[in-house]
Amino acid sequence: MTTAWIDGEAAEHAAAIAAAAGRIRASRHPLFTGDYGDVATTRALLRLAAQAGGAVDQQNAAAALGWLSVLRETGSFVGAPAEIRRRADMLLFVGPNALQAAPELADFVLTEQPDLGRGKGGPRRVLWLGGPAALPDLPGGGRVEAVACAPGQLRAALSMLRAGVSGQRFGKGPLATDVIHALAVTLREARFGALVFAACDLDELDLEMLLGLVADLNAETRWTTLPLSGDPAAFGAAQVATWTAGWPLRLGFGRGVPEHDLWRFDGARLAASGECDLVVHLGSGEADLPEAFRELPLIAVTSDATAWRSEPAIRFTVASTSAGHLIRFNELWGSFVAAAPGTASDRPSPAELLDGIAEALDAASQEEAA
Amino acid sequence: MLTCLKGGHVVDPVAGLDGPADLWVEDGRVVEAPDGPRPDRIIDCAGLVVMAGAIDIHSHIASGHVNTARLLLPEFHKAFQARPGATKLSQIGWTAEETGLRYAEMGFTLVVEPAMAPSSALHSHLELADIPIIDKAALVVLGNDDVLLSLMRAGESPQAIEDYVAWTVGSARALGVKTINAGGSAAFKDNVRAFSIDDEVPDYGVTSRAIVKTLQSAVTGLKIPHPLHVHCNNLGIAGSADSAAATIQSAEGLPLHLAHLQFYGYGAGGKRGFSSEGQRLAELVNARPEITVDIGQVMFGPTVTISSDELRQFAGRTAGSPGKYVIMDGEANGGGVVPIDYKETSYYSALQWAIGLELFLLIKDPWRVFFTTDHPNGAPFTAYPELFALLMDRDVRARWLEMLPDAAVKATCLTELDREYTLAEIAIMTRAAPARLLGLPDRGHLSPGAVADIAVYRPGEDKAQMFASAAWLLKDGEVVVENGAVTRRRFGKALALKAETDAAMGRRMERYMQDRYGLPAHWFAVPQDALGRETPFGWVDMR
Ligand SMILES: [Zn+2]
Repeated sequence: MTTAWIDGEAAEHAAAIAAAAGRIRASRHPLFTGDYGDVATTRALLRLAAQAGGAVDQQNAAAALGWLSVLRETGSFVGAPAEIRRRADMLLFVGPNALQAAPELADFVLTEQPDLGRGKGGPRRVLWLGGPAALPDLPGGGRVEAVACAPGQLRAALSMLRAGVSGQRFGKGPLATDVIHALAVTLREARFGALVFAACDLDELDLEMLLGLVADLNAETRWTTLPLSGDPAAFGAAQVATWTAGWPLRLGFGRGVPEHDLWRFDGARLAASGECDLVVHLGSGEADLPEAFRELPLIAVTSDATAWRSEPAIRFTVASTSAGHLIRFNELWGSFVAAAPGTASDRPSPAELLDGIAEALDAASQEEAA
Repeated sequence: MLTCLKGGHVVDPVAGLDGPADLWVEDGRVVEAPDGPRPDRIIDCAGLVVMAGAIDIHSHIASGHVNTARLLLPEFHKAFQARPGATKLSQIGWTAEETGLRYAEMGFTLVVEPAMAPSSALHSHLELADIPIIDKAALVVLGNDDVLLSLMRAGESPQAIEDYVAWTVGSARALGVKTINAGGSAAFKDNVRAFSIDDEVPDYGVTSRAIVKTLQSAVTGLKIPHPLHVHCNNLGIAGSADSAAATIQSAEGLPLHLAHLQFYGYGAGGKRGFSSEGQRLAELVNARPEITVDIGQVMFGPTVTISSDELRQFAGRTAGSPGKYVIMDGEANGGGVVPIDYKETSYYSALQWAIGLELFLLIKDPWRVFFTTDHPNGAPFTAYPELFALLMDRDVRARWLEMLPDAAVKATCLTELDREYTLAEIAIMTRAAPARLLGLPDRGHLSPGAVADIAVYRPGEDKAQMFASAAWLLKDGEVVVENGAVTRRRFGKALALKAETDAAMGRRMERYMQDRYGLPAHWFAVPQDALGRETPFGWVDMR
């Protein structure tokens, strides 16, 4: 079974590993990116990138990054979905895409009535500030109370609401004064409320205002937040990067120590500016490869063995199933979860492949040193 | 390979050794001096002090909360990289990698993460697996979880509760059980803002005291070697000494460990309403042989508090520096991350520092008091060498006291305390006693059969220098540190209890998870093959 191709020609696996290590060694500034996020792959990719002095990005890193940047600027209240599902007697959705960002998660918190704490047994109120024109039916059959607000006006509305909640005066804005007053009273009456939003969908100033509102509400009662990142894989990769390198993605290892910079190590930017001269990309196949990387020398690590129309410099196929436990970040659980083992594969796992390249790289630098 | 550590001053209080001796090591263990064979390697320890590897029983090194702290405070890591080793802040040991290296360089061979949530046990173990060189372990947190509180509310049998505790310990691969402001986090989610030992958790109708006693009985009944590890109510507030005193009294003859006692050493006296209760708590501990404590010493400088005591972190959120925080409404405990700067010029910080030292010096039995800074809550673990110097040398204490505000110096009895810890007492507190407390008979001493975790120090006037940088460190008989620098990077194990779990409890948990969450109970589990290490666990016997 062929698992490696050099310039489109079937190659011995070991020869392709050596060729990949050689390419990475010769590269001035390699970029490691793609669609990955399980712990073993992320760990192996970080190790290889550190050794190679390259940059690390992830296909959907932006989905996790907006939220993480706000989190570290202002801090936040954050709730576990499991606790919100059982305890929240009021949910406030904010923004037009709050339900679509993570439908499974929205389902998870909405399907059952609260059965813990002061809100136990009662119905759960669901409000939606700035929702879509046609509100969807809620899972579990509940009714949504709409508070209309154009997307561009969200921050102004949240700001009025903050003032209303704290009993401060506020001027004219997108919502009528009596609407704000009524809504402020409602929110303060929640026994355990959760503000639900698509973090990747709101800009940072909106997010800061929204977190400020939750902080204000906690002066009297309990409120928390449920940020929907839209991509648990990107969030998982960010978590692994954080305990490994001290920071989430995006990372660069070009100066010998890890550096973190959202702009400098943005893969698309590195490719467009010509700063990177080699891409190591993880994905399912050719269709997965973003336009930005098509003009660059490429080492592709794919789960699909189909030949490419435009073959990369080196291509590996890796296992898409695992006989062991695959560890991924799970948004419902709010932490890492081990997937039940699947069938064994003849192909190496992505982590085994990346480790193999790292070892070849290591051996080559030791040879050079000697 | 046969190794001989030759001619060192061996300090091993368990064997009653405090003088020159040779140590022999083979296959990762300390062995009797052999009759015939010559050693393959001789390590010349003449003029050096030889001890078992140090053990830290309470240091927040690996969890979702720790990672949240890293996410919240990128500036800490940036400072570390700009000036490694230059300031206390910069020594925080921020990554899993740094944590292992810095601990090993100080002669540590085992560190316990004290706050592993059952639902993120896998996260904790993933981080632990990436910490090189040292062995590690974790305590699993119970006492704010719906399952335990519901079992108690329903008046279920002690056997059912033991089965549940055993199931949790087994799933999470824990070395012990901790409770953190028992019931307080659950109450806070119901908007309770102050919670003491005899207060009831709303809805469940059980008191904090009842939760502590229930868990203490279960831990004792299951023969878990480490006593229940308790983080009391009301941490950090003036008057918190009453909470610690009430908890100490509640032990009623059964073993109980109180974490970071310094944070409870506060009265509400004096014109600032913040006074030392160090003497009172030390006397209580001295009078109750079933009690062990660690201190949670405050050292000066910026750091971050990471705690699963959500109520306390909420209360302290606005005092943070820099001014930002994360409060987590988790299922069960939740928690919070609040950065803090302990300033030498602050009356409060200075008195906290003094209270920690009062406790160290006034608690008489070194087998029952443990050094910790509650890393990173009181200070990063890299402050330990300075702490040992403060304990061993009253002149060092006097120099520190000169720099502190007069009002704080007047409010402590520290100036009257002459006690200086001996090397043997340091060896008890940092080696022998932690091994005994955790139920590890082959650690913390250097008799034949012991795990060959051996730290060798170069003695000198400057005790901080001595303990900051091990001359040699052997881990499982292998040299891993020379002259304070790591020479061989390898991976240790996570120590976990051989917990026997009851199949009926397993089925019950499966039903509970399906009913309440529609999720599988195996999401609590930490599979061996998930951690990417050949032998991730070392198994520890129940008592
Ligand atoms: Zn602690």
